[in-house]
Amino acid sequence: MGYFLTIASFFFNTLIQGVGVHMVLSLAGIIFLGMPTVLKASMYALAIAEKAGISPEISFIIALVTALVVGLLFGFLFTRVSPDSFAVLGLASMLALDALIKSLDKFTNGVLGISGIVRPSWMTDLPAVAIVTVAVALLCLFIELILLKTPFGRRMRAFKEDEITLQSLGINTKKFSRNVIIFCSLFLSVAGSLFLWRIQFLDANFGTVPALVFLLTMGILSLKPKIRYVVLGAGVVTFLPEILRFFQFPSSQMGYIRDFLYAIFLIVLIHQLHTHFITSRRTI
Amino acid sequence: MFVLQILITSLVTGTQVLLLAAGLYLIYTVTRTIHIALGASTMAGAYAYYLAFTLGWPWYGCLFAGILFSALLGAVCYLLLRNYIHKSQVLLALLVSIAFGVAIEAALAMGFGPEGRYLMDGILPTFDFWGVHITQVGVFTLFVGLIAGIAAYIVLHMLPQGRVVRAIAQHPQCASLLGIKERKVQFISYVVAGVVAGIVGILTGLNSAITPYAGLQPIAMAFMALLVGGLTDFRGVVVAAYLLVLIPEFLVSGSFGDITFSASWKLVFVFVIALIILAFKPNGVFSSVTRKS
Amino acid sequence: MLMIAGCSDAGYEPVNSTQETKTPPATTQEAPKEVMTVKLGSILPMSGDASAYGIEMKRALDYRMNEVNAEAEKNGYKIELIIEDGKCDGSSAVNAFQKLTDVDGVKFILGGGCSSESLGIAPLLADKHVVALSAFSSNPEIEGKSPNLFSLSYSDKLVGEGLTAELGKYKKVALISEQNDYNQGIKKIVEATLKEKYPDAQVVSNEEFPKGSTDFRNMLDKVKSSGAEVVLLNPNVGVTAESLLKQIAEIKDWKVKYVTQFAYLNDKILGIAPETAEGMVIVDVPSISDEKFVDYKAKIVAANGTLDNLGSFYTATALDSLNILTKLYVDTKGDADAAQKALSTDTFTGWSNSTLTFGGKSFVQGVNVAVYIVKGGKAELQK
Repeated sequence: MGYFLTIASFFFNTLIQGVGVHMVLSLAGIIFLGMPTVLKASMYALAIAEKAGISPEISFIIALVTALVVGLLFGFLFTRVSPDSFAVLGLASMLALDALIKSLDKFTNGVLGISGIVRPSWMTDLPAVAIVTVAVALLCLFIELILLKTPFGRRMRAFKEDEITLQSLGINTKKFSRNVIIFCSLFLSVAGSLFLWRIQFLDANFGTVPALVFLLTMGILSLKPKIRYVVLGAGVVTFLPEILRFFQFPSSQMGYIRDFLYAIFLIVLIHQLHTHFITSRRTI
Repeated sequence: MFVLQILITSLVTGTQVLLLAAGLYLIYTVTRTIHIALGASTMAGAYAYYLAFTLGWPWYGCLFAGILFSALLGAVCYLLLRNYIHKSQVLLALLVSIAFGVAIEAALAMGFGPEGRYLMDGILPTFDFWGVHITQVGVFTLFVGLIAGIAAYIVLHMLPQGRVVRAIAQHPQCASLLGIKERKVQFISYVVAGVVAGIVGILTGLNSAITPYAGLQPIAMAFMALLVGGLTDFRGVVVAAYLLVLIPEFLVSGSFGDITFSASWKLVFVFVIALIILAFKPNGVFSSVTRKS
Repeated sequence: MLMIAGCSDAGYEPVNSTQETKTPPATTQEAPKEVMTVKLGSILPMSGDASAYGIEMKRALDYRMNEVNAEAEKNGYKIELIIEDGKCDGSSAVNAFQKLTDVDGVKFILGGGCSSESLGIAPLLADKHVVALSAFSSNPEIEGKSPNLFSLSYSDKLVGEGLTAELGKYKKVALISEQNDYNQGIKKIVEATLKEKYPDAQVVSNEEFPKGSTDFRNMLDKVKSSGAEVVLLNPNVGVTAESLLKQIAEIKDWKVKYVTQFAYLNDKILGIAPETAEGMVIVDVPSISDEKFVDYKAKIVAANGTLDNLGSFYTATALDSLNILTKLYVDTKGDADAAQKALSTDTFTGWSNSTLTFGGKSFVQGVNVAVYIVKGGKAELQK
């Protein structure tokens, strides 16, 4: 039962991340490669706060605030540099944060990671974790569903299609893009906290290129402004590695073969889908 | 002497970053794509050299193998990305490039294992003078960087081919109307960038060692150099490449009272310096404010 | 000289146990008797950078398991071993653990393999009434992490203290460490022990480099300029260690003592720069030289393939972990709580040591380190 609860928790956790990715990447078209940076910073904030003796609930708030601050910094950066530059800086921030965390080992325990992360008292066992994750995921999906139907949601799609027109309609696109990045960061922070409470261990190597590929895959699969594509994206990234387990690859090569197949799958997916998904149909 | 030693060693690293940044500059100028897979291509060229080396080929055969493989990989990259380039689908081109880079790294790890490999046996011969030392490969790297820099300047500013590149960078549609074959130029740019990346990989492998995943950090630094230098300003890229290597190297090599930083802090400093420069000069070190029509 | 001599037939001989030992009944002509299935799980790094250790450990375990199962009727039990890939990281190890315990119903686990795997599963063991015995997790953080987690490996603390004993002979010390969980564990022990026991020794340079780095020239120049008398070389085994030594050899006018760990217990690497390595002090556990063990290991290699990465000590601990858990399972009839108590208090015999006792701790007690000195490009055992 625990194994299935683990997979279910993982799927719904991925869904929460998918909501954030959907908003920033798929809808607003902002190439935000710093998503793993936000996720990792927020998770470390939670872990360090708990290790300092702060309760899990307050640590969660601290994690959210950290995500807010980091999201704000990225938002500010987005308004200062070109979109291409922002993409590259996001990628570099991932590597820089990884280096910083491993160097500041007095606070972060360096490459050893942080173990023994405590769950809140109302979430002590795996079934409780799973239930909370499902509930939060459904809430996040509901929030996004509502947002999509509001002017905010329409602005996101308009931002991707034609930013100049949006500006000419009096919308402050700088402020708007910052808000979208912050929203994404908050969703990622929630997902990261729930993930940590389930695993109770923070691996220092988490949050680099594999995490980015993972998030980007969801972003590509959910390029349309519909919630069901977010669910599809989360489903694919959750269950595809499980399907690959059935292939009897040599043990020592398994990890590399999985990475290779995953990358090829992504390339083929983009190639096949880009003509169908990239052009959004306008519903009047 | 210590300062001179750090300077000399850092110049070698800076030259490697500059060569990679030059390849990125060429690709970005002509296609407006961020080609992250170039980092993995660096190592792929080095591993082609390594394969020839283990088969007992002479050094020029190994070099030829490495360069040829890099050129082929560059061509494959272009073929993979051309549809997205022509439709200006920057996001998808970036994603495909990232995925292709991951695929190359995984293929190298499958074929050669994750452990590092050497392109040269034994201890590297060095030149020693004035109390400092530099490896012969390091000297060769500086030489290659100088030649490449001069060649790039001559091509870009004095030859018709350079005018073609600059024309496409300024206005691709207009360049096409004037009879410039945009796709051919883009293809050649990817091949040339691939070759340059392969050379950088081989030089890195000769100077230290190669691993399948070692391409990510240099390409990230090369991209930072491109951003800080100004995406379309080659002078800026040259200055930025050396700035982003020299300053962090001196920061980690020095001490500030009781505070010292180890080598693991380098990437953090690169990022912070880039952020500071971009905060004041978002379009590059030599940029000026222009009005867009 | 310290040599470890293992027993001829490694097994479980409780010294203070009050448990009944199950003995297989004598058989002459009889109907097939019931054979108990000893269900064990294992979490090993079967993929990724550390996969060589996991794969080789599986070779040793498979050989022993086949040996036992071939005589299942005689012994009265057979082993069923379910191996899951921990990928040498905590979160994958947790997933593997949950699959083993929830889907396969396992209560006895060989593992984790890497320290990060063991640290990952440690918080989960007691609540689930699962006992885990690792063959090669060595990070000192494992000590006291869980009452249900044990390791037959020596703690890195021993090696760290041994290194510090050598470094403490000098006034100016430099440390060069890789950012890897093993190397960082060693580094922390060295820093703490130097401060506590050798206050006169000053750390004039304390350098770290990212995992997998291959260019150390500027870092080495910085260490050279610090004026250190002795340098701790603390890289991971393989190309990193080799590159570090090569680049030290490029600096011709730098004469300093080197102290290091098992990464340099390799004649091939030492032979690349024999003059530079001359006099280098290497601290590690001794290899196991008992003839019966050496023969047994040779049989495993002949049947299943090389065990070069695992080495003799960890091959021995791998076999010991399987033997001990198997016997505990049989004796306690699969009661993990009883097995946990027995592991905490009893004494065992094994290939890795004639007396294996945990004495209420997580690491096996009584393992000592050895010191090697490099002469003419070869490491010679000193004490």
